[in-house]
Amino acid sequence: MKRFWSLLLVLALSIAGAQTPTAADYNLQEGKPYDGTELNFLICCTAVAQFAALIERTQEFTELTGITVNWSNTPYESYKDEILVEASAGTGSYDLVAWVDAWGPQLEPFLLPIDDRAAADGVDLSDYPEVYLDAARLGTDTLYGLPLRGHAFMLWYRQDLLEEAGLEVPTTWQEVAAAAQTIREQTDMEGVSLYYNVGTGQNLFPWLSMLWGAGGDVFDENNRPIFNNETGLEVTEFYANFIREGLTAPDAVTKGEQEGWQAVAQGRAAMFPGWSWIYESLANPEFSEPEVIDNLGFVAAPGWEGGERTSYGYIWPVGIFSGSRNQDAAWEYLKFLTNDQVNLELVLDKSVPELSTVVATRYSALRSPEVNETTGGLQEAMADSLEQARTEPLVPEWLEVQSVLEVAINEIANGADVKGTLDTAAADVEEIMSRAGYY
Amino acid sequence: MVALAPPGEETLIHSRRTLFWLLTPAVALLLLTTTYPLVYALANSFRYWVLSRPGQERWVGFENYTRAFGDSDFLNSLLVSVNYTALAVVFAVSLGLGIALLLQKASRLHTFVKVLLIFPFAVSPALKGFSFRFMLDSHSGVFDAIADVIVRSVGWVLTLGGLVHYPAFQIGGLEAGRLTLLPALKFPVTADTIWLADGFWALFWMAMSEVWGWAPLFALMFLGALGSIDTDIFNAARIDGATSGRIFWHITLPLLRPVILIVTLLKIISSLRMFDQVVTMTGGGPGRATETINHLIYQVGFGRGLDMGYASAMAYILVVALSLFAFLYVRVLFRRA
Repeated sequence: MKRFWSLLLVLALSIAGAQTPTAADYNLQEGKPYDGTELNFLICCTAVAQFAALIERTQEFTELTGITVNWSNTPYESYKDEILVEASAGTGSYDLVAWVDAWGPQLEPFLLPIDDRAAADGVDLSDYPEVYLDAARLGTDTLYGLPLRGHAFMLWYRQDLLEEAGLEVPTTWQEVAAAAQTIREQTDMEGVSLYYNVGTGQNLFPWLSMLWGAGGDVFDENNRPIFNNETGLEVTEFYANFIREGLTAPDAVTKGEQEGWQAVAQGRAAMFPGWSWIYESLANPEFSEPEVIDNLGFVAAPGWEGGERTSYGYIWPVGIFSGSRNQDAAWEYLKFLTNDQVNLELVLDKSVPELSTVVATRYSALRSPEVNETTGGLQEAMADSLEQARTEPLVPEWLEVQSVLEVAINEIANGADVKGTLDTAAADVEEIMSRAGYY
Repeated sequence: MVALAPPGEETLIHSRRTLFWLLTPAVALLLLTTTYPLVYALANSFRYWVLSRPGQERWVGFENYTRAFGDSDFLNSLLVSVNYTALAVVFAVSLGLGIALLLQKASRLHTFVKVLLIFPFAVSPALKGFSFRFMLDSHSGVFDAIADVIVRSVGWVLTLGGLVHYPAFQIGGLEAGRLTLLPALKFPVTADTIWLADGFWALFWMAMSEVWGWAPLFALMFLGALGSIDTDIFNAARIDGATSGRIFWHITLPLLRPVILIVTLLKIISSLRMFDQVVTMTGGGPGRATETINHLIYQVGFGRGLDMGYASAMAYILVVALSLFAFLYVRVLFRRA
């Protein structure tokens, strides 16, 4: 009997030992070479489920490496300012930083290239959508970060409303417009909830998706603006017609992305183009009506009739400040944050609602059947969308250009002449690029 | 024999020295926190300094200043700031004065009302912007709802008074037309207006969000000033047969002039620095209709351009304009006083 219990104990211990992850499981250095190091991570919005879950997992990282990590939780409104202050002052207060893709090229001088480290530690870059890596390279050939958080542009819709109207799920923007028209005629609902306000360039999300799908672009190969060419005019006219013809609510000119998805969540709109993370809100009873949750449908962002189905990717890379005094330890944490196993486990874990996320950045998690089972195939749709996705032009002047474009789109949605407004915007953009020395 | 200084003189020297040492930290702190940034910003305004292009900094003379005066965004933001300031100052000062005149007569509620008056000023400007944005929402905003309730109430009164006749129809012998039509009545201006989508209304409401906080504060200041006016002056005027209107125009207003001029100056300076509500209420839109000079400077320096040199130049144009205005204003104020 005593022997039986001893054997059982050995068995239990070996199972427990096999299940306890080691540093090697996360591709981390063994032997705790950076034990006692304290890292500071400049990031915002730690209440976001994915980040909150990663903070929880950091305890495990600390146990494996002896490295402690402080997440800064800077408010989003002052997040970029904080990054700039740290970057330009080079105080070394922060070791790691996560940034929104559009800001990346401006931060290039202050970030540490990580190609060699990634190659040396065998980080599998093929597991990431190319669009995410493009953004992490900041428009150069050098890798400055790895994808921490990323989204695909999707079309969200109410299955019940489309079915009642006898409509198929739209696959082109023209079909979206037609479906919105039908829904508008048959119900008192908003056909598609769009957002044209001025703020942080959100009104460009659908516009860029349409422009790229139609074969247009913002710049030509010499970085000269071409968004006011024939394709650009056609796309912009089409985009403005949604509001001019009443397919979206008249107050869409004052709405941002958040007010856009809220119209669907509150049962006021049938469709909405937006990022994949919005699933966490639209499928959440705290924000959405029960009939919305029960009938929530999604598909990769529509394409352009006769064109390609070019989608749009949005990413937050995480990298290391070149002024960090703990670059090696920071690299260890960066590997942990973006590790494939961590990525997968994060989206699979639904035990704590506040930490439950749908955001994965690696194909291994996005294509996982188990993961897709939890969301009805959202990540599979994301992966499909991301395979054909592009990102915003990765030039340091993008935020200035974006500001010109978002104002132009807002003015057009408010009734301004499309050609005249786009031509003026193109002249402004040309001046910005010229001043920056492109030509 | 040792010559001794008179005791009073020694104390004075001692006291001067003490004063010097006591003042030194405060002066040093002031120099460090105000003078140094001002001088540094002035120097930067003559440099090319874009944060994302380290190593390319250079002196460019007046280039940033000449660029500003040819920049349509800058000129637009100047105009927006001036329009905004005019709206905010006129409404805040006149409403503040109106409230003060209403509360001038002593009442038991005075202290309570005065406490209430200070609350709006205590609300953070960013929060005011968010609140007004929600209140002006075309779906669930209270402004439209209140306007509709007012127009419906007026409609009921006019209908029941027989002053308005609706195309009536009968249900079971009852004239139901007017009753069913009334709930659909909308306030004429608000019915089709999306407040923040219209350039004028967006600027107007942005100004009102600020007036909401400042007018009560000004009311308190005017109340203090009104309380300090000798009541004999008013009594004498009344005995001489002056009407309330004449007393206001010829006695109250002239006596309040110094306070009015000071609060106007305060409000002008505060309004030209408008920033918070632009961020939380309009984002500078529609188009660039509410992009104030301060918001543009922030956007150029931090938000989109990272162009510290140009942002410093624009900020200095604002500083010079404000200083010049304040100087002239105060000079006129004191001359008249």
